[in-house]
Amino acid sequence: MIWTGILLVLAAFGAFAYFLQLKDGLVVTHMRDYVSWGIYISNFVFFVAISLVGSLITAVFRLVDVHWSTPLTRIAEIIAVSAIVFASLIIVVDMGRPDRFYNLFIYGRLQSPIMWDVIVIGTYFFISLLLLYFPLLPDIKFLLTAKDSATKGWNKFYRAIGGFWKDTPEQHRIANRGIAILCITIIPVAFSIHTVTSWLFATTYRPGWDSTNFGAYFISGAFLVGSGAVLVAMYVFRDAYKLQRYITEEHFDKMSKIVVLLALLYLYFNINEYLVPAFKMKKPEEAHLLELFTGEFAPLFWFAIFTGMMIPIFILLFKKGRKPLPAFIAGVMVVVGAWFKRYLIVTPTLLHPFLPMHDVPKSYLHYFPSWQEWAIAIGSLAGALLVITFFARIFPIIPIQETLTEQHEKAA
Amino acid sequence: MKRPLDILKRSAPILLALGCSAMAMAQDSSAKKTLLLTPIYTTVNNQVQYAGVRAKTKIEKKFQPVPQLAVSFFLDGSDAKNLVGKAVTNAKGEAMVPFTPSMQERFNATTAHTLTASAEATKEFDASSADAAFSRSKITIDTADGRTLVVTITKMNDKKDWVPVKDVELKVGVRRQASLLPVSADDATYTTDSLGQVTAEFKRDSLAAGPKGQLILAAVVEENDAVGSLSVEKSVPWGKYVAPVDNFDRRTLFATRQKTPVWLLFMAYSIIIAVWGVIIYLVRSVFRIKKIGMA
Repeated sequence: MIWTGILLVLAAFGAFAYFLQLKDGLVVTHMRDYVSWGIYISNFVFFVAISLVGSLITAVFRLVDVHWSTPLTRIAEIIAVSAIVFASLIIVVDMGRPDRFYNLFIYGRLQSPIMWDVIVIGTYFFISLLLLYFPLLPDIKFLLTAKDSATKGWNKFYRAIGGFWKDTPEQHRIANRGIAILCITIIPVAFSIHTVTSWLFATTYRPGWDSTNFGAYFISGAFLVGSGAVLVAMYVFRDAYKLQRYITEEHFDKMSKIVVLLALLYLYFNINEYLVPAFKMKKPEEAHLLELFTGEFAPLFWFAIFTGMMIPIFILLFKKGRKPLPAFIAGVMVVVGAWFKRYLIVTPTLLHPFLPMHDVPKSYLHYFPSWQEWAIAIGSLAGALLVITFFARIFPIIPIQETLTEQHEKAA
Repeated sequence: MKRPLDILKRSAPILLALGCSAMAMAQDSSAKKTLLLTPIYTTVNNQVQYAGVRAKTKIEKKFQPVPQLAVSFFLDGSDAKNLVGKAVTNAKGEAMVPFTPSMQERFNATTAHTLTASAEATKEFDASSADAAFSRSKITIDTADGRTLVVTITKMNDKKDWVPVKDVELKVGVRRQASLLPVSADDATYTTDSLGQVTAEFKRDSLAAGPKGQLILAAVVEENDAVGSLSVEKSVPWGKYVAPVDNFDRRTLFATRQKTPVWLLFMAYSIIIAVWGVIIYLVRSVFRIKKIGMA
């Protein structure tokens, strides 16, 4: 209850800050002519990134017949759904006039990557929702069997969304076929969602964004932060719901190895993205790169590199580091480092355009989010966690039917 | 003790001389700098006369322009009645004012003139003044003979006859946006002969020009002692019109939504239809599962 209470307070405070922003306009933020994409867009990229984990854990592992990850699939999917919901919301928050959002659909140009992002986010949301829903159907039957553990209202809700599941072979056949189709469909859509998000930056000619590598760089980073989030969620749910039987140390061990692999991959892309331009040190990009390496953003930059990649790799390389607690700590580091990494991708670039503006106030040359921006960003993170928390309260966080089937097959 | 005293006595004149020179140098550094004014008389298309000046000063043994200097211009005398106008020098140390209609009349009345540029004393400079004598002169371009240009420079003598001016250096070219493009690749500068003429061949084929192929030919004399600065322009249809490529109404990535490229529409809608077709199929599957369960 304390956890939920804290999240509710944070989310409510974020909603209040957004109310102020709606009332007074975007002037309450510290975004100005230089930094027009601040903490909101950083948060958006973070949410989109974290949502990709659903496709990795559920779809990729399922297609390559990896069964150990079955108890983790629902965790991954609910993270994906809640993250994509808040990615959509935070984009609306970044709009000065959200009441004009519909104009995007009336006058939107298909040539614009922003339009592609809107389409692909909507599509990914529905696919993730279906991928969450199909495996949930057999579990709803379990929930309805244990009617007494839920209130009348909740039982009514369960009946409405899954009361028709009778465990018939035909139902299983249709559901399994649906899941298989979803697993195939979600992978290109997931790749598209983050590639298109990266193109929002890469199709703009600016230092730090002018890269042909951005799609792959973003996707590798997305898989890393998503996997880090799964590590964190595994530990929390295992501890809170006493799921040690289902989420075992072996799961932590294997998931940690995946995180190491993804962290190394993301580190490789980071070296590409920063070392190559730094080697050339083109004059128009010099200010941006030096700001990151040794300037105003250096502490944050090196924090993101070390906390988000280097230290987790170091922890998880060792068998003892892949135990639940150290793996959880490494997961937290990955997620925190990833959030700041998104901030570093968005903001420093905007402060160093190729063609600097003339006669702007000095305050425009620096950016630190206002309290309203912080409140909304933290509120959105709390909101995403609230969705996950509520979901875990009303649905089994471990796919019961699938896990039991897996265990029976293993035993046989 | 005697030896140090001797040294002091002997070195006293040297020390005194060094001290004096140091003081003199200090005085020099606080003294005002020398201002050099160069009056420039300019005629454009033989119609509009301008009084101009270039202001310079020597800083660290180099001539540097003097910006923000107020300069007054006088024609044939430094009285108030002879004032042509006042101007402030720009970043290049240059200033220019056109002759007023009344001054134009006085200018046309006689043949020889003196232009005076005068600057009052400022914190940096003492008051300074400079004169330049010049005659009424004109420059013409004749293109009667095919693609050959004949530029003639004449000046008015005491009998009010136009006489040719010899040995005047000038540039002949085509007026482009920021410079004068020489009419031929080999010869950029010309000097007038005893007839006050230069002849130049126009060898610029297919030079981009306006819709009717018109080019602006120009002949320019810069700061000549005898005639001042002269320039004249003439429009000729010797260029080639190049119609600009207009992508405005084409289907491009930067066009309006109605002009989206067909390939993009095809690709995007194919993907959208395929993926949403799958989603619709799966939603239908849910209803099928429901139907089976309800049966």
